[in-house]
Amino acid sequence: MATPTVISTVAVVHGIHRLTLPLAGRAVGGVRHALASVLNIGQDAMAVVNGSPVGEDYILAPDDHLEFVRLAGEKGVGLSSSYPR
Amino acid sequence: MFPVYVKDAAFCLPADPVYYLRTRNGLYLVKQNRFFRSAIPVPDEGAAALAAAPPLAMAELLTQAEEIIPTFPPIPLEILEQAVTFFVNIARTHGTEAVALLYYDSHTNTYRLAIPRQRASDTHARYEVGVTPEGLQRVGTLHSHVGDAAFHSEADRVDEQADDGLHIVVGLRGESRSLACVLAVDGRRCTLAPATLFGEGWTHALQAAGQAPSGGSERVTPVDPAGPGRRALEARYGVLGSGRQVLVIAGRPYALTEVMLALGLAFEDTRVIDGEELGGGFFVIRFFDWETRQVVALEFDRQFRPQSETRVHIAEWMGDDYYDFPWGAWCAWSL
Repeated sequence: MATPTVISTVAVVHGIHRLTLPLAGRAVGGVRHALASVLNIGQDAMAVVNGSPVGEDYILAPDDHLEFVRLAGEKGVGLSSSYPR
Repeated sequence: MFPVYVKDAAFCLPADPVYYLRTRNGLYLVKQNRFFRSAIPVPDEGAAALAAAPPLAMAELLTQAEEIIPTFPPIPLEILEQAVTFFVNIARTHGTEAVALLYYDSHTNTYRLAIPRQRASDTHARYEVGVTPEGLQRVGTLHSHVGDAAFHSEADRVDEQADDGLHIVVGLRGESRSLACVLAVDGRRCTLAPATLFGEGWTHALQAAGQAPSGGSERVTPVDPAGPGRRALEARYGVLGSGRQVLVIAGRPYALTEVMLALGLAFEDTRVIDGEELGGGFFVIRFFDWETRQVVALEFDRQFRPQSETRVHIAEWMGDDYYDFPWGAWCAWSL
């Protein structure tokens, strides 16, 4: 009798995007690279798993919640300015 | 990780939230969710990575256009009124722009506004985003322009580059109010009519908002890096850097470095900025004094005799960047 395949998924969030993907066992850095264009992830987005910041070598576990967090933004009239912060 | 479909005569729209689409005119990345559907051409390098797919007869493929189609659930007018009331109150109390974040709760199918911590001036607002609250999706931003119409500035466009979603600008110019809405995806932008998002009645909501007090003002820190020294200096001599690089003194043109030499100020710790003729045989030269980190405006006559000197700290131009700048221990060669 065949054993049913268990698909270990991870919820991945970036802004408006929310996907559930079979990423358990993969490192955050590789996921970031693979999804950068799909989710339009900015280079400075911080990886947060289950509410805690993690490094790029963190290995995702089944049912993890991975968010690539945009830390800050800037609006303004005219060209982007370096202030105010 | 994501399927690749072929757009031929038998193609039907798949349900996948993300997929690639091979078409007659190239490869497209298609995203579809509750808020939009987009088809954006994949850059060449991305297409090359997918070239392992079997070759196709191009004649059988259909073409695809780049598209961004909004499918947002209607946004209640109350959300617009809340945002505009907040912006109007911040403009009245601080005279600054302000930013609000728009979230969607998919469990209750409702939108929510959140006021992020931010530092704002009359022309800019830098805001914190951070982790998305549990159960919500961050679907966009709203921000105000003070004393200006609603439009997406270059800074706004840069901000939207890596932030797919809805970006709304509220213009507050006197009693006149305006609204500009775009849906940004992968750096592409689709301009939306406000009625598409808010339905009819948005103009009334826009004009009527702002009559009541609103919360959130404690999260906006107004900043005015242009202190009184900078304002006085630029009022008298013009915006820093807008002056001349050559001054004609007693009938002879002088490069500013020559002027500094003639004034006895050509030191390693000075950096000349600009100069101007003031009339009546008087001139001004502006330079940066690295040692004191001050902008100096020195007035002198046609015999290069100093008449007056005004000094303003560089922080009045740099704002908080002054504190981040790697000034180092002082020596003329350290910078």
